[in-house]
Amino acid sequence: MRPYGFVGSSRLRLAEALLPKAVAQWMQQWCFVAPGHITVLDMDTVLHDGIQPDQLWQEVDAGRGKLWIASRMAPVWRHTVFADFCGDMPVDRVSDQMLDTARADLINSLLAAMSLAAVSVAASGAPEVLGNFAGHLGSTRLLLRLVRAQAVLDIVFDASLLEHYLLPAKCVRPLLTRRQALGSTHLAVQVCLPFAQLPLRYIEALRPGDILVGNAQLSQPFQLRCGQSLALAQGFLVQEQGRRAWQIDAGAD
Amino acid sequence: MSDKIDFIELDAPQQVVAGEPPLLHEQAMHRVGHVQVELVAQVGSTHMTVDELFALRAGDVVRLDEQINEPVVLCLNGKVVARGSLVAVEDNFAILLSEIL
Repeated sequence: MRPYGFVGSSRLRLAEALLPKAVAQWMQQWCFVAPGHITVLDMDTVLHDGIQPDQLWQEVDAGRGKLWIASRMAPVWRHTVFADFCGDMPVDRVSDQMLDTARADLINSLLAAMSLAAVSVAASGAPEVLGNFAGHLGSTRLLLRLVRAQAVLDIVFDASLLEHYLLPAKCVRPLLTRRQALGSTHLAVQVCLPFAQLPLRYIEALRPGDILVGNAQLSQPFQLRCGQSLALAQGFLVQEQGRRAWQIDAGAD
Repeated sequence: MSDKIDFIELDAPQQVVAGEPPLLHEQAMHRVGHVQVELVAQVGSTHMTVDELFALRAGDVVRLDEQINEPVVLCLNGKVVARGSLVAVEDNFAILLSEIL
């Protein structure tokens, strides 16, 4: 399971500001001269078709997140580093070692640009085909793409690698406790007197001017009710400043 | 010993063939008029929060929205059916009805 998320413009802008610069420096150090173009894309916009599906990728765990890069055997390294001289360079242990070192340096240059500690690329995961890190809606990953002549070098990485650059989240007001919310709810309460038990026909016969004598005696307390609830408390009618009032006698049973 | 059990199947309601059947009302009051129901006199009301309600204690006075001389209401199942003045007849409360709804 992976949380649904999004990269957000802050991390995308950060990646655009930090990473192409690091790649350009790496190219100056390791690559034969050739024009190159470096872009950073939100993986939400790059679906499977956008990256090399048949290439072997290697997962690199950088602690805060992961990145995926073409494995050491991928021809893209030779094209990227040797550029137009690719065909002239021997395929031997020396050139392979140089490419390995260049690859490791690119990974650690990117991590350093994101203020992350270097990793041992050799200890990273085994190469795998395009897997779960591919772009999809709600992806929290970014794609760094270096295009040189016919070579396209893609590096996919978790946006969480840039998380420590984000401003701290705004403090949100603490939630009101349920008890507080309930306590401030307004209720309509009524003061009532169970007045009489009468047959329906008697009630139907009542007319204005009639005096309806109740079963309730004068000493009987009035009840405080809320809607059709049972009595909440009982007390007696009093008056206060020209208004009716009700004084509690004792709690209802 | 075992008894044979048959399940009971209910028929669908019968269709009324023609004309409008008489209402039940006229007969019904005659037949249910003896049924006892409770009338409740509501002498006042007000609003308060749950906290205020829970904080009430013996001796506290709750001021109601009604003036002293306003009529009280008689309720049947929570519905107002009449209004009048609260009076005393001997040792009992009584209501001098002013309005029947």
